[in-house]
Amino acid sequence: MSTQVYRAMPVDDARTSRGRTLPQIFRDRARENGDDVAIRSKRFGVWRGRTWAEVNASVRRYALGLAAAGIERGDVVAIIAENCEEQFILQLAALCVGARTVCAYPDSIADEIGFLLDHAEAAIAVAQDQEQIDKVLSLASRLPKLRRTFYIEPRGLWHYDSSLLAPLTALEKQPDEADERWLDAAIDAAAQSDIAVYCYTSGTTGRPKGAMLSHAFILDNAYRLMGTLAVEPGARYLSYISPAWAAEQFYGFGLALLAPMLVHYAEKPETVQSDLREVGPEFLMFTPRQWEMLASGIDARMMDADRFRWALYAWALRVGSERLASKGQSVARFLHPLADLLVLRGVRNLLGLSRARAVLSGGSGLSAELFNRFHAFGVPLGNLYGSTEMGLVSAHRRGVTDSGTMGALMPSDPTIAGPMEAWIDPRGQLRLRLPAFSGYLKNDAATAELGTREHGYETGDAVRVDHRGQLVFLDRLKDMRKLASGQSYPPQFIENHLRASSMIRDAIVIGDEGHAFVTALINVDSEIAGRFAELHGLAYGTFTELSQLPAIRAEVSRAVDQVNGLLDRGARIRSFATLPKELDADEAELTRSRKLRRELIHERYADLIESLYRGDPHCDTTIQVKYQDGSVNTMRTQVAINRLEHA
Amino acid sequence: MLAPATVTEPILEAKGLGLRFGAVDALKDVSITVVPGEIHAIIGPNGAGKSSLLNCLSGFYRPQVGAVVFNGANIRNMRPHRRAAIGVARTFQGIQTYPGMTARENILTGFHNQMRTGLFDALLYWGRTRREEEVFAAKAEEIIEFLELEELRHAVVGALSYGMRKRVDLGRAIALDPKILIMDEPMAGMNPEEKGDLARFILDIRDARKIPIVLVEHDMEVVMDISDTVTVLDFGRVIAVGTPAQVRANEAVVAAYLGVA
Repeated sequence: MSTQVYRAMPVDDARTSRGRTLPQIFRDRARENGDDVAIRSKRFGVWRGRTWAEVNASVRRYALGLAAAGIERGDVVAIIAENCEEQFILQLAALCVGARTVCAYPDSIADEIGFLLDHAEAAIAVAQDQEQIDKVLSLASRLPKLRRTFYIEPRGLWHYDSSLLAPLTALEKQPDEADERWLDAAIDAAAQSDIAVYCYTSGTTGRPKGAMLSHAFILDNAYRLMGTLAVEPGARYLSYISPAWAAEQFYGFGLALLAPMLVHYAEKPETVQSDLREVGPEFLMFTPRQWEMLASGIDARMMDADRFRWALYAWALRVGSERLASKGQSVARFLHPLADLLVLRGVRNLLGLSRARAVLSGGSGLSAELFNRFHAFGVPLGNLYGSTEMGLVSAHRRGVTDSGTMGALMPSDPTIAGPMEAWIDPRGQLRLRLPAFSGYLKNDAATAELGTREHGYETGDAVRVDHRGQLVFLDRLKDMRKLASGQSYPPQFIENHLRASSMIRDAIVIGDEGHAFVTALINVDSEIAGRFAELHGLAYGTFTELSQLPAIRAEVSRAVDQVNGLLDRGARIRSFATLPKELDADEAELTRSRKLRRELIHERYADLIESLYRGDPHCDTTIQVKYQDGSVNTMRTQVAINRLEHA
Repeated sequence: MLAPATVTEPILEAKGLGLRFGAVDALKDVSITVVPGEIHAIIGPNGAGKSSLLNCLSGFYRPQVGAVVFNGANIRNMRPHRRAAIGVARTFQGIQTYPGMTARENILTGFHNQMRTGLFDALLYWGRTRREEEVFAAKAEEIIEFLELEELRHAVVGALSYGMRKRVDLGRAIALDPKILIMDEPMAGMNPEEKGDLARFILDIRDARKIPIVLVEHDMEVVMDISDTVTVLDFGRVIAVGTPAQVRANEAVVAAYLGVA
């Protein structure tokens, strides 16, 4: 069987890196775009812009200061700060003299920062404020390589007495002519393949690993974004995701230089919401959690609204959703301009996304419900898939978005590499051939586990490519389950998608090495199903009767069909049964936090599961119901087995 | 930081104050000395005369006997608003903000004593007034940053929590550009977290803005943590003065608080 290899569609964008390093591109910016505003920060309530020329002057002063402090090619400068212009400038300064930078999350505990400083062998640390300085000083005795620590904000540090400590301004050095020549030579001496940045990956097990990113890798990823999203020169970007995360190194740093973009830094993490409104960025990237917070912010405000406003909001959101669902074919398309004028435009404004061209969610999956809600608002939200090691792999291009996919393969910088290639190996794993990171710092064993470029890097992710070439993330490979035939399938993915249907409250996917195919037990949502039955004039007495109504089962069947459409043939659900009784924490079928207790459910419904695989038309089931007073009743009922024609 | 009281000229002194309401002696021969760079706490049981002393320092009461000396000049007879103008600012128990205005506007009102242009200029909003307003707006923003009020800059103060309103109140007092700040029970009614925040701001006002502070406070933990000097009053008399450690070890103080004769 030959595997199909997917190749990224190239874009025609002349803004390539052409062998230059990040500081070399930056220097060209200062020469070519010297009078354009490069970065904007809000201080004392006012947005203050600095041109490329001004930023360049700062960068050079700090670069010479770092050199004077003994920083040499290959040394490491650590930065522990929120997103701020100092971070941007310092990182560039360090790169100019050939040093490498590593950023830490400001909310890391001292021990984590200590590990990072020690492992990266940081010679200089720059910390934002007293909070971060306290962490560093508490560890100083364990960090023999750390020579000096600088702070950005002096507040609270007035009485600190440590030979290690100095204000960041003390690092600046006014250059003379010889300095300027030396610095230019230092910038020229670097190669694109040099390591620029360490990014520590958040290991779920064990200590984090330090991924080494080269100039070329960062710039290629910047190009991947630029090509995918068609980022224009001068585009406004709000820097919010942490520079400790590779994605911000690609976006807020690499692409800021390459495009170039006008990067905005919020006043404080707490003011991002209002700063977002003032900036009106065209591009930004949030994590799913941050998108959730934006959405719940709107919800919270709507709760305070009066009934009329609330109804108007609900109506507009419905019109927005319907227009999307029907792809502009329903009446919603006529109502949409009104809904947009009255409500949706205001919502976008409130979110600060009224000028957004393409905004991304990256890091993990954003729920389809939320994804579609932002689209109903008219926010051009797209998904992004990638990793620190492989960089950004796929994303939605402008105008091509779909909550179920992670977009198409991204175009590479042609001066760095040919189009990236992807294929699915027999285990269902996504394999990639692209310029990747430069390995883990001091951990060759872990680097080797990822495989090689020639044979395709191993992502560890089970991914499917749909007919339009869009990547569908299924599961981590290790979470996939196998059937008797050896076919693997993603149980979590299926359950999550089934749960997204309003008719389905919970779903338990069954099928392992003892089974030939996948089946499912469905707990219908009593409220929605009840309302559906009422609406269609269907009589029912109990939940058991409700769950077995042919019309309800047909609805569930439709939802299962839809999910099947996202799956490869062998991984599809062939038959399902709707449970005659709701899963209940009182009966230990669920935990108190509504997590499924699978073993118990399997045991309790063993007969039903057997029928699903035997192909019986129905199953006579006996279930025990426990009442609140402690009494137990045995209930006998007939549960229908539903088969899916197309599976 | 311990203030080297012996070498520094005092900024504010009470010398032998006596204050009598009818037959009641609220203060009897009370003297305190506040030096630059210190946080000076006044403590004592209820009715000891703490608020009376504070009111004498800020000019709301006029003591019958003694002197209040600020930067070498006796200001005993000076009215409160005049004292504010020369740099003696005070915050009150509870909150003295304008609830209908935003945090920023409230802080801007604190500059009223420094504004030089009048109503006529303001109506034209031309030249001088405009420049003046820009200067004060910039100063207000500095205070907003100092008190970490950025995200509440445009929030209406009436809708804020007690702790936040208190912080805005403090911002307004700082806007007066005082040479000394007198605070009456700043911690009253606050939860532990708000107290912790405010205690840090009081320390920062001393260290970053170089404003000495006199405060009356009931929360002993806060007093002992942040004060450089503590004066203890009982029945209108000073019974002890010293560092928190000295005062804590003083038998007269223990007796006054525990009610032992």
